Amino acid sequence: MKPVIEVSSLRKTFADGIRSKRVVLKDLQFRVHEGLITGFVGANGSGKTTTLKCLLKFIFPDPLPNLKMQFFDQTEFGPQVQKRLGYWPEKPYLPEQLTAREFLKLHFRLGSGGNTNNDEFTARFDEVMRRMELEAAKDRRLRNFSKGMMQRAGLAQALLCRPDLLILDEPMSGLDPDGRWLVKQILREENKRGVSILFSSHLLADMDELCSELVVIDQGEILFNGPVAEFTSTGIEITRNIEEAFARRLRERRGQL
Amino acid sequence: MIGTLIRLVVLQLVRERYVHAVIWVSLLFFLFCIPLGSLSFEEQERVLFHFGFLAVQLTTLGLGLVIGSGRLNQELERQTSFLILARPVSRLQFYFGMALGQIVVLALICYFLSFVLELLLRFYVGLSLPWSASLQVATGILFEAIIVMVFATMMSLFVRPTLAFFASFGLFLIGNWLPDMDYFATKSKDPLFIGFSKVFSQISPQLFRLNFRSLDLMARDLLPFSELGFALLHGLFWMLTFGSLGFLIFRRKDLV
Repeated sequence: MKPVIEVSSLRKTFADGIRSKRVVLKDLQFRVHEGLITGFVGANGSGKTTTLKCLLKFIFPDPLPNLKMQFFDQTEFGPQVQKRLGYWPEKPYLPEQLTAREFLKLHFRLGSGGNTNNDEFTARFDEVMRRMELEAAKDRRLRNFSKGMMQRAGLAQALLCRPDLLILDEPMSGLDPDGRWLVKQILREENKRGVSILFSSHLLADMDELCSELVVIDQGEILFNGPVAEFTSTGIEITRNIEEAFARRLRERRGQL
Repeated sequence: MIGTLIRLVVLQLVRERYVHAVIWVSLLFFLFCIPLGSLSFEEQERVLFHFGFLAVQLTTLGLGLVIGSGRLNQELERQTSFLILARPVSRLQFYFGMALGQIVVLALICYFLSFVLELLLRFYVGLSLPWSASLQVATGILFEAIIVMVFATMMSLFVRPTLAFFASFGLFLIGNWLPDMDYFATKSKDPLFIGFSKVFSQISPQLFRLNFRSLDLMARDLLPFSELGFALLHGLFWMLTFGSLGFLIFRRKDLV
């Protein structure tokens, strides 16, 4: 399988006060393979969001000579990659003054390099709103959306331009059980269509259900990168699920077992 | 791309409640000008013109300060900017798209209010000045507000919005008080003060040049073209300077 994301020697240092520095990502190395759903797992403050932000160039990594961040077959993160990418950040804020239609129309234009074809947009807009079960709220201002609706509208935005790769930061946080089920269904459908997905989550039960591969990060270091089965079965005991395996590995690493 | 970003900013800002509130306050101020002007027998026209455009200036400047110091910061804080920057949009396009959108909103509000004031003065009070006088004053107000807004946006990239707001207000005051400082420096006859005043005047935006309202516009009808042109070019220079500096900071900023 070809990697859609290949990262090596990814380090990020933040200034911590005037003189001291804090290394938050320590020479990360991992791969996300094409056509798979890959879970990005880690405890709070382990560096998940910082890693995703480095991938998307919101944060600039330390310029190490052997730093590599390759997307598809592109060595540079630029418009060629961005056109094939769907992204949804951790906090579900959207421009509240816009209606769902206006918001998605602007993103359709931005994502498709200024495409102003209204019919094309309407067809795509209707489709994503139907899939997100937001048909009744098409022309409602986003300020009147509930948190769950915001999350789904955000996901609609990520899917709008038919991406080949989805990067989602905690896509299921704040959703009720029904909303989580819907998002999982959509991720499965997109994956069937051939979309590669990298998503971070604290909800390891969801990872168990969805992911084929995992990237596990702890205190800015990659703890594991590979198939889920390998993660849950290595060691002396075979663990029942990702949650148990995750807890065990973390404790082993920190010398608590 | 930049056009889409401008549209995004304009749509958002024209629907903001605080923008509506400020416009209403400005319109009320216009109405207040009428009884105020009638207190003066000889200078009614001048008082009305002056106070009316003071309302336009305060509104445009206030909005420029609030939008400049808060808007980009809010975009970054709420991560709405990430959705845009994940698209094929460069940081240059994003920064200037946002700035131009804000400028369009300021221009719409400034010219709309000036037009309403002009109608009020012309048809209610019977103002005798040419239309171009109001256009000239409004353009000066707009340029001044844009400079302050672009400066506030630049400041908001590395300090908190409140501090950016007050720093930009400080810039506005300094820019308008440069002639006073020059006057006091000359009066003091202190070579150090005079030298400081001269250097400071050269490295600060001379916003008083754009304040056509406070000039003897009524007596001269219109400023000579060369004076107007120089003032506007001076304003444009500072807009571009602060805009470019802001972009240079934003270009390499970690959007944490």
